[in-house]
Amino acid sequence: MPPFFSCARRRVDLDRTRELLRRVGSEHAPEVLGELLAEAAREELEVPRVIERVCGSHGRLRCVILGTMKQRSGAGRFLMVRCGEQRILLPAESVVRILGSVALTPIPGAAPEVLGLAQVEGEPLAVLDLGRIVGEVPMAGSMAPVVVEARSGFGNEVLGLAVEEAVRLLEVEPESLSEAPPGLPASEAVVVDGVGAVILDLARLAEGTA
Amino acid sequence: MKRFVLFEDEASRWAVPEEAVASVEALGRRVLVRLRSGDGLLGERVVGRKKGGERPLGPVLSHFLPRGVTALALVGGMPVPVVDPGHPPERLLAGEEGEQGQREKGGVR
Repeated sequence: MPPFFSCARRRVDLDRTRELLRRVGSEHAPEVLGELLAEAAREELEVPRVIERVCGSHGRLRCVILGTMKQRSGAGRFLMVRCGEQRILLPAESVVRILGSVALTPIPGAAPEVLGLAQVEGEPLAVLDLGRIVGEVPMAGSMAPVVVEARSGFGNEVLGLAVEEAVRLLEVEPESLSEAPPGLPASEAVVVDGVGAVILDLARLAEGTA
Repeated sequence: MKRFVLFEDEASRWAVPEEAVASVEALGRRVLVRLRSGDGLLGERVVGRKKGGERPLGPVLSHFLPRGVTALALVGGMPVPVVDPGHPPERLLAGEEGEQGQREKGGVR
């Protein structure tokens, strides 16, 4: 089985999909992947359409596979944020909103990456220290300077990513992408304005890659 | 909207779905939230029974939040973790010995 299921210039990382399906407890990982490949071979469909067909009403399976999808077609739009020296690109479609500083309530027993819980427009929001996740100096205190509310790509899951600065929106051309450095929850690396940046892969956070 | 029993331990506030709670008892200076599953949760005080909106955790937040937390809720205007009544966080569980010890001291009312 090839490591990537590629169709209409979008790619699904099959190895990562298999691993994620195993982690979410799906016994159907081999069948799902087999069907994906068969569908792709039969018809020249956009990858998301194939995934819709194969996963049907299994929302979680669909989310897992979509979470591993790499968009290589055309320009991608990203929000660039900064944590310490690290510049990180968040897919623009995953960003819900950018918040100023928010008060945080700690959660005892949570991983050190969790800064706490915030209340945003009548909804609870768990806020993660994105700098800590990418190996920068952890944030301190009960206030996060800037929080990006983002969808993880798994169902309706929304989380807050505390960053030092939301820099700007930008377009990235596929030819400028390169391999992400190992050990980061990133799908690709790119150079922006002469400075290296990584594209955050939110699905990889569920795997604990940090 | 769902109803929760809201209680505090020394470090945080927690919510338990009200339908999963069998009783709330005083245990010395603490409170014991007894669940229908048979487990008991120890806290400093019960804040109250309140309605709140719930947001279930997905796989990313499940990875980072403590085991035994299934959702986040906004209860009484505060964001709180929601305890899984089937598998509560270990730090909240009342050990049998501790509970028994409190009973022997006449702490349980």
